[in-house]
Amino acid sequence: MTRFLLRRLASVVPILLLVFTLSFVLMRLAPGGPFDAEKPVPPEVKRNLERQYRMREPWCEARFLPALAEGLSPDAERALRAERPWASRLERICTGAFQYAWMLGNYARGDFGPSYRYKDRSVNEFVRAGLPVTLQLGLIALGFALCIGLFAGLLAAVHHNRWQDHAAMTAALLGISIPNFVLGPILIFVFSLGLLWFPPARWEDWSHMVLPGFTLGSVYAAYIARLTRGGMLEVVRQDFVRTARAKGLPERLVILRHAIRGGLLPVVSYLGPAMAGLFTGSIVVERIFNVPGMGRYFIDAAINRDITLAMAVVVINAVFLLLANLLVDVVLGLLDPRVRYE
Amino acid sequence: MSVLSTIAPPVAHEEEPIEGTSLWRDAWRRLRKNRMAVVSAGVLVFVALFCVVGPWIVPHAFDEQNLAYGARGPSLAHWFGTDLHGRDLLVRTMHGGRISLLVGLAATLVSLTIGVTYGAISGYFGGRVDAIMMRVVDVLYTLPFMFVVILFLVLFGRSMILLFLALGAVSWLTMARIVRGQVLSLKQSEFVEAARASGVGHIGIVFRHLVPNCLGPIIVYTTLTIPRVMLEEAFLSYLGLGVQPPMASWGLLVSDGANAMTLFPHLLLFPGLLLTVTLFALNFLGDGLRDALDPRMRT
Repeated sequence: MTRFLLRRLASVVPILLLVFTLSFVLMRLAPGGPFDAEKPVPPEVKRNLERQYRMREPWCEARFLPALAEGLSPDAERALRAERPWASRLERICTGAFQYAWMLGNYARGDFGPSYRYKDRSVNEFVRAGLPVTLQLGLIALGFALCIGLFAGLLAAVHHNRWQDHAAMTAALLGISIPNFVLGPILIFVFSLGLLWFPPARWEDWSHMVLPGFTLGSVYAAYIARLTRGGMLEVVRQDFVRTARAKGLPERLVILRHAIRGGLLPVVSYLGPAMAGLFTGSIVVERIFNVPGMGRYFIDAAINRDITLAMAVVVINAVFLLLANLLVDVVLGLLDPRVRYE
Repeated sequence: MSVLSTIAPPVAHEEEPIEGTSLWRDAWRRLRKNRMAVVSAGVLVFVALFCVVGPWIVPHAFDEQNLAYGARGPSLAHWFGTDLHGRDLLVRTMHGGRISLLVGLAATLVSLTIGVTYGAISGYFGGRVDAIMMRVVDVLYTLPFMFVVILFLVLFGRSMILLFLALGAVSWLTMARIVRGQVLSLKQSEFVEAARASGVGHIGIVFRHLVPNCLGPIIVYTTLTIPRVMLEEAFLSYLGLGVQPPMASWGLLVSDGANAMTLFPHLLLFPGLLLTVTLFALNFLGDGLRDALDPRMRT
């Protein structure tokens, strides 16, 4: 068990490195710099800014384009780069390699660097503010999804091919088909603006969490209901369930004590991908309900080209998803005696 | 007379040629019996006609503004009402549907191509190749893809082509798994042996012999991928990363509608309803096809 955990934890590292590298390459390849959109600053100031963010590396400049180190005007620099495209390319790659190593070192220490957009705030501040909110939202949504999904799925399985089954499965298909950005506004319209039961926005106490949690969780409730039903129907055909019935156990105990353990395996293994979906869905749900979480920061950062912040969100999400998947695998092993930790 | 009538039936039966049945004919029969799937197929045909043919019939253009008229509820002149710029919502919904359906189909095609190729290669070669390729799929499953897609679209422009390439590139995983499983169980069959004996190469065996035999699951899963991809397209359009105004897509219309819903609920209602109904029908049809084509998966 310990060896299994250690091995899995070790396998997380290269995957994280891959995610980091992928977002870093995207960031480097993106046309335009982060300071292009602002009012023009003197070239020296811009140079210093770019030095500070490691978008310029004096060593690389001196090595490949020595003229640059003397401080050229932007126009002269452009002309020089056009004149010597290969040296320019090599200089870029060299700078990129330096920046990569620098950022990777910082990430390893948990320092996500300064935000490109908000010069006086670090990415870490955004993460500290946003991550707890998003995790809270995700957990509430997952709780909703599990309660509703398991109940509906068990109901459908127990009443297989009767009206409860058809009703639950049609509702589940509807839940899968209705996008959360349609459901969210409708819920606001009915429960916030019409019935005045819940506030339509912000994130303060539990009453703010009901609608976003339900909106985010509904799709997963639907999938969980389908998987529960499928898993249960699969299991109740097996011999050990027949044995339980044959020895005269009441149906309730047959289901709750024997069948459910095997029947829920598909649901547990679905929780990994579901958590990836919850993170993605939180982008939209946080926007609809004006929740100050990571999803909102991410989309604002992406649109503002605040790449350091956006990149940090991607990497942090990957960390959480990988850990969640590890947890799912452990739980799966505890539930299913057939699984062996090699 | 009574004697004749007792003798007659077997004679008639002998004259009737015995009709063979095939997987496809069986599936077709089962599908037709599934009333919801048939209704869904009808709804989809209707929605497709509505979106493709509709704009030629409605006497308004999707970008024809009438600021003085502004947003109003449904009327005889504008069946779905008008939006804040006084544009006819009916024709905008139709146009949005064209884009949404087009992106859905194109992205699904991309994901189909990648998924089938990847899965078939992995299953056919088996062994270590298979182990590595499937491990990659497992890893990709756990990654927050939409975040990368969003970054990609923001940084490299918001064109339609990029949109469906990006969506297709991230939604092929399940298809790859399904095809791989099928190929794995088919590759020991006699017809593969025969093909190999007659000198067909690896590529020929995979794409001319194995893949056509996985068509059932491929069709089922393709039908189920379309609504997923359409949902993702709507999600990106909702965030303002899909098609750009004055063009419309269902996600964009829902986003505009949600902003104006307190005063003009019809702006949210019509595009939202059409999007949901389409996705619902696609999912229902996909489930029906699965039950029809692959009775073993039926629960």
